[in-house]
Amino acid sequence: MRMQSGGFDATARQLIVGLPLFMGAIEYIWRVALKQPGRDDFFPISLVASSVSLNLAMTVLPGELRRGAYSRWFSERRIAEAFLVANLGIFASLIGMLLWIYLLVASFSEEVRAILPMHPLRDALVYYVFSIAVNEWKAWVEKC
Amino acid sequence: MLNFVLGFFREYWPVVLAYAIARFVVPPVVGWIYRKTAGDEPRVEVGRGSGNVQTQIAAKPGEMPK
Repeated sequence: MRMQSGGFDATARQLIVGLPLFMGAIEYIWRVALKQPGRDDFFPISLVASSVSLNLAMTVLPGELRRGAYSRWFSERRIAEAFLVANLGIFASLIGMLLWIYLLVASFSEEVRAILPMHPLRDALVYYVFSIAVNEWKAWVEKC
Repeated sequence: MLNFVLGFFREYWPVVLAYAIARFVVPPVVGWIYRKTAGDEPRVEVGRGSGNVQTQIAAKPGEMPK
């Protein structure tokens, strides 16, 4: 069976997993070209935004479950897991939106940054790895 | 040119590390946890359409029913 991740096929999956490298390289070239210091102003915000979109995709139930084709979904546990992943996608998206708004505002406001000290790059990467893990989980729930 | 490339890894090593974790660590770990927790549950498949009911149990945990 072809490995799928949240409905994406293998090629798209590689692109999604490699997104931070791609975005980081773009920002690095951009910063070097403009001689700008600091790596926390653009990249983490974009990474969180893309991770939110990844989590939004998790909210869609697997096709067989939506169509009512329960042949592989006979187990109640599988159905419960599919719904759990979908719910997790909703809440992870909401948390991601909060993180995104905070990082966005904190990037230009010193006062907001003082309220809650954070490490934008680290937090964005943790959120991204979490999103990939949920993605993999959904792939397993769909596959089995 | 080399400095430029190395500069990327020097500044963005957390990104490279996160990518490596997401690419090489997360899939096997999630798969392992899933197989571990989904473990012994028998997988039952019911054929639809003709009223003919087929029951299959997977040979190993985490494997697709044949």
